[in-house]
Amino acid sequence: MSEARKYKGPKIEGGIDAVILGATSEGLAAAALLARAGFHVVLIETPASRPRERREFAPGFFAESGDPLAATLDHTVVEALDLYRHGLAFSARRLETLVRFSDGAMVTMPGDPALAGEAVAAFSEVDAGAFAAFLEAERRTARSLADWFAGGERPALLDGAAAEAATASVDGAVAGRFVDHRLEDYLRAEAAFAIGARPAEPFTYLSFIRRLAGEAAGLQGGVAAIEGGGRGLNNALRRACQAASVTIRQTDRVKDVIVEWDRVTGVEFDDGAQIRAPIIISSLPAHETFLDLVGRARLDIEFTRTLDIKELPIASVRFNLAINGPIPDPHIAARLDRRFLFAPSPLEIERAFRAAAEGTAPEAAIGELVFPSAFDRALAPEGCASATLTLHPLAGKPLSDDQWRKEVSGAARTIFARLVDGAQIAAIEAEEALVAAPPLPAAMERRARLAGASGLEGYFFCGPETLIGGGVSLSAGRRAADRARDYFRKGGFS
Amino acid sequence: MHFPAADDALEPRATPLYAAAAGLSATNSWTSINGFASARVYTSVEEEYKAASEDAALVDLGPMRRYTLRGKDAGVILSRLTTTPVAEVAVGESARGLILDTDGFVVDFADLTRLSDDLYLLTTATPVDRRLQLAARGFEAEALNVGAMVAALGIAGPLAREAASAAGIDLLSADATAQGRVRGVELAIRPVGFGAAPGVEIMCPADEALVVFERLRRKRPLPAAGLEALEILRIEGGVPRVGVDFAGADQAGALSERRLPNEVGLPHLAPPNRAWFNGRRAMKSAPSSGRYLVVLSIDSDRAAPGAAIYAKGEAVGRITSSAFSPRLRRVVAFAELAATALDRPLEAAIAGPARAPARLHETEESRRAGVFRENLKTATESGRSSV
Repeated sequence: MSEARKYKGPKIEGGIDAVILGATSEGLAAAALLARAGFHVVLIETPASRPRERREFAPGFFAESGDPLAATLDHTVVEALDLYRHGLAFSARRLETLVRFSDGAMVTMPGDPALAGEAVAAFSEVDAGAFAAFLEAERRTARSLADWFAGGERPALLDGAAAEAATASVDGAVAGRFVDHRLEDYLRAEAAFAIGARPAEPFTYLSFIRRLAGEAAGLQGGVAAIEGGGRGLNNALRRACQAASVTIRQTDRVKDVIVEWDRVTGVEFDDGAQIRAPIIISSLPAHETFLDLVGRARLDIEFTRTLDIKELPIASVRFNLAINGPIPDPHIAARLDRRFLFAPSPLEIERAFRAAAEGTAPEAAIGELVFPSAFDRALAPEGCASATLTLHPLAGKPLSDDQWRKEVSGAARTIFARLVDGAQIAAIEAEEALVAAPPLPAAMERRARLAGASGLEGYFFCGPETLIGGGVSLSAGRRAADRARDYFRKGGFS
Repeated sequence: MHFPAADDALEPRATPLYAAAAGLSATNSWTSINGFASARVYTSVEEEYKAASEDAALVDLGPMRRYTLRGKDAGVILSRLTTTPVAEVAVGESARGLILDTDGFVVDFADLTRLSDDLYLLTTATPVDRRLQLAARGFEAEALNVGAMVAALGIAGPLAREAASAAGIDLLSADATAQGRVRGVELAIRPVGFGAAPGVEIMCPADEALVVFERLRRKRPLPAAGLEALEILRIEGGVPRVGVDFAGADQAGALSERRLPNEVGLPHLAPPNRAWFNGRRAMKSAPSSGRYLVVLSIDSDRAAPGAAIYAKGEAVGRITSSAFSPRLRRVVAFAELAATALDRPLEAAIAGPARAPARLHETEESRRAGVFRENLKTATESGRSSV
């Protein structure tokens, strides 16, 4: 070929089967699964999708980004990708939960929900049998709905208990069940946590069932702490991707998804370079995935309406706390490698939701406390502790607002003091605000629509909107990879 | 231009031309369309039909829904919402299409006119405010329901243009929409179809409606045509009526009642090989009901909607709307038939056990559909052979 006829335009790459947008856990999982199925996969990492590194939030105190606990991990992905071999490890499995009520009383819920009866017997003997039976029944319901929670189809016909659970309000489902009201307070706190609707509203109870349906470290309803937090999981997935020879590219921005007729055929970058591929899986936020990369004019009207739904004005906020010196409270200090839950009274929860709606800081809120330094000594100086406290509900205002940050930090200090007696807080940092999930059935309906209804062939979605109520699960990545594989097998692209 | 199903449940309001229409009504027979009073018959169906099919007759088009879209993205919104080829419509031109829902089922007809570079007029049979609002979200254009602001007077019949220009409304140039000021009144006039009859539509500000009406009648006392006469023209022309011959997707009581463009005999209005519009992707894979809307001519002078259609004694469908056509001297009727019955000899139930032979009747609309289906088939086949 003569010099003059050489192509000088932007680079166009072909021979690639699938492009994955975004290096989130779900995106990495989808990439690794497809690559293991024999696809030639390119994963495009944008700065926003990269997890943050461990950082020092107060002198000598470090924090990992993301949720320190995992309540749901798709075990089929863990097995298929052999994630344990790639470095996934749990620093603690079957975490016990110490619940503290607003009157200062405490009950310990064992890590295995099947043993809850005995634990409750020590707290309120008359309720022990009823509580164990109740939890067992709900676990059974949870198991029957687990596939739906993980992104599958809604069961066509819900049976009695499941149908009731799907529509009930938290208050309606737990009120009057036990002699000791504080057990109801515990269930209410677990159910209302991270959900944007008041416990008195319908459809809220399902989130408690979902909590029981999750599986972490091979235990239904259990909670586990992943070594290294969200970043630890991400690193394991990244190694799995490398092992499956996924090509990982870094770029500042993807400009466009190329749509030809009804199907996607590749992505384009700012410099005009293109990667052509019949399958694209996006783990970027839905807004970016559809409206920015494809454009409103190519999407169905009702579908874009799903994208336009406003986020709830209610959020959970995660704080990092630096605690100077040992913790004096003997109940807490006995074992720090547990999960602590502050369960306010129904009235306090009601007031907290009202305060959130009005945009003020609450006096009390549901609080989930974990001491990451109990799992990883390197996170805090010798003899001290670092803690992560997540409060719910708070108003969904940005934390960049100084006044608001100060107010919520004050609330966090108060709740921390009610949960842990006499500890000395050296520093407190509001790390991030997590938008609360809408009541579960609506959220799952929205997820299903986003995953399936864009109508663009070859375009699959596993962005943050598919994770309901926060928390990594990898199910969305698996579903997207499965659908992509079916699409490829059917030859829809040729 | 045709009306949707009557909605007798509402207390009807007056259109801007109501006073004029009421003055012409000898029978005082009314119904409610989209909440507006609409005359069924003014004097007699036969006379009105004769005028509208051979001469010219006035029609109050007030019950139709009208919207304007103004802005940079107005065309984009309309090409999303409707199946009309918006990009190819020049200023002054009109295009006819459908509005489909996300699953590809017909919601309504859409009649679009481009009034200027960034101003479009959308006319529909039923209210589509919500759909328009959703389609416009995120785009730069303003949608406005102008139904209450404008009056629309139709003239149906082959001599409609002459009647308009006789009254001094001679803005019309060829087939395009024209706008202008005629003797002090701001007008827009455009060609429209009334089923088998051609016609024009004159739009003016609502409070000038009676002035325009008087001017048209002063030169020559044109008769008015009511719904019943228009119904005959509509069936002869093969245009189905929303809510009567098929349920619009927004009104359908059950999901299985929704109909695809091809099933209502209008595949040419939603070509699957045209650039994107709402519902196009879904339409290709949507489940077909296996029933098709066709026009039958029945050798009888009566056949009521709801009557069964038989093929060799087996019930294969039913009549959805019917009218006696004075021109054909027999009943013409829309009927929904099972796909398997389309090429079999048919009979329609008349009254009791009596049956009359029926056959498929070619209309302007079915001819277009047939040509379109043939072309699409050829296009797909040649596409295949080249691979």
